[in-house]
Amino acid sequence: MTGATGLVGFELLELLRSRGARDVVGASRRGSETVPDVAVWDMSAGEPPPELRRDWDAIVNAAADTRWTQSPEEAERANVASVAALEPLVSDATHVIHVSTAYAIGLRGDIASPDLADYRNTYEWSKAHAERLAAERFTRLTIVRPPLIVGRRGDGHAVRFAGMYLVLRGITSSTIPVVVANADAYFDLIPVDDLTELIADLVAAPGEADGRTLTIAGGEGAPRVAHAFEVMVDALNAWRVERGHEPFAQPKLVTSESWNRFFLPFARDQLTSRQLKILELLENFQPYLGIETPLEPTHPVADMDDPIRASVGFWADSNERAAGLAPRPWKGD
Amino acid sequence: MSEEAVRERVRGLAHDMAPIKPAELTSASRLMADLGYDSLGLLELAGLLEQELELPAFSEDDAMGIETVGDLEQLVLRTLAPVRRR
Repeated sequence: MTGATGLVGFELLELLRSRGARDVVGASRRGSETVPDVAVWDMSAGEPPPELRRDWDAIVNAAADTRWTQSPEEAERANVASVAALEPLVSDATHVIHVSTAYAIGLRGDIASPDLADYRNTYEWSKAHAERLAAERFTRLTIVRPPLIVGRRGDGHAVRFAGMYLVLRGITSSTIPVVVANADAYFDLIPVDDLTELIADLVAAPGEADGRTLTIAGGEGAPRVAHAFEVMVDALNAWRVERGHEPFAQPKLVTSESWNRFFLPFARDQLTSRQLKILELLENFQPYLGIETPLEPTHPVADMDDPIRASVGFWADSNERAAGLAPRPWKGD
Repeated sequence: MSEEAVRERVRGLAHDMAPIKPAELTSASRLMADLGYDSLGLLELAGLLEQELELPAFSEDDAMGIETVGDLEQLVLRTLAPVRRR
């Protein structure tokens, strides 16, 4: 299982071992100080290490760089080259389960295009390419597409914080003046353990999923942006108030039209170069706050309010300094 | 504040804000490769260092070549040097 120390890989490794799966080996670019028996393998740079060179019943490819700000070359190296790197380990009998993203379908609704302009960012573009490559190279393949992923449903546990947590960081560090979003857009999130349960089931019994692409997501039932933010910030404030910190105001949601016409010109005049750079980076998140067409899941996920609350609480407990920062006015220095 | 105290404050903040918290953070720890910082995280960290240590804003030139916690310590010490000499 590649990406064994990432958000999905860490959970899946634990789950598979707890279910008694035989001979489960993890691989990770960095290795791990805490997870036993993780082979060190930089999939973008080298051949598989000797300890991985054997026959496998199943390979789960959860290795990826999920940053939206990667250059095309970085994204290609991290997310496409890693698929090619699996080839020496895959026989005709090996079931490859490739963890992609629901947003690999980009702006057109499919993965066929090699043109970056058909995707929201290099991450989506590279994941679409990775799916096409996997379909060419592997005889037995299941592709699993999740949307944004948060911590476990029950306790919010996560070993990495990306996606939704970017917004939390922006709020607590007072770097987001407003949130550029469509309040009614779908903000599709799933708990990591909903995803890993599905993948573990596929490892145990591929069945009809062999050869298919599965989407696990909220779809029509996903929370809307305004509601998700309300739940997120209320949960953050409950954590803060319990510890004697001042709560944050709910961030104002503005449309991209308002942002471009009114806020951005003001920002360019009033803010420091660093604040402007932060805004530029946060712009990468905006496409995911304006998705008006719901995903079409093969495996629907429901009831995300409590998982969002749990994930916020866990993030705050794990990042007390960041979560407890005092609100600061958002103005140029 | 002594040089060692400054270094401890920098390492403490770099640890507290790091997406990946290692068992041991040292001056050799790489901000992106080891601690999981992304571009946004580094900008946030810079802002918090400025705030907590009452520093003038770092320039983009200052930030060039900052790869490790040790590089960050040196940057903060250089920035503080005129103040510490008074």
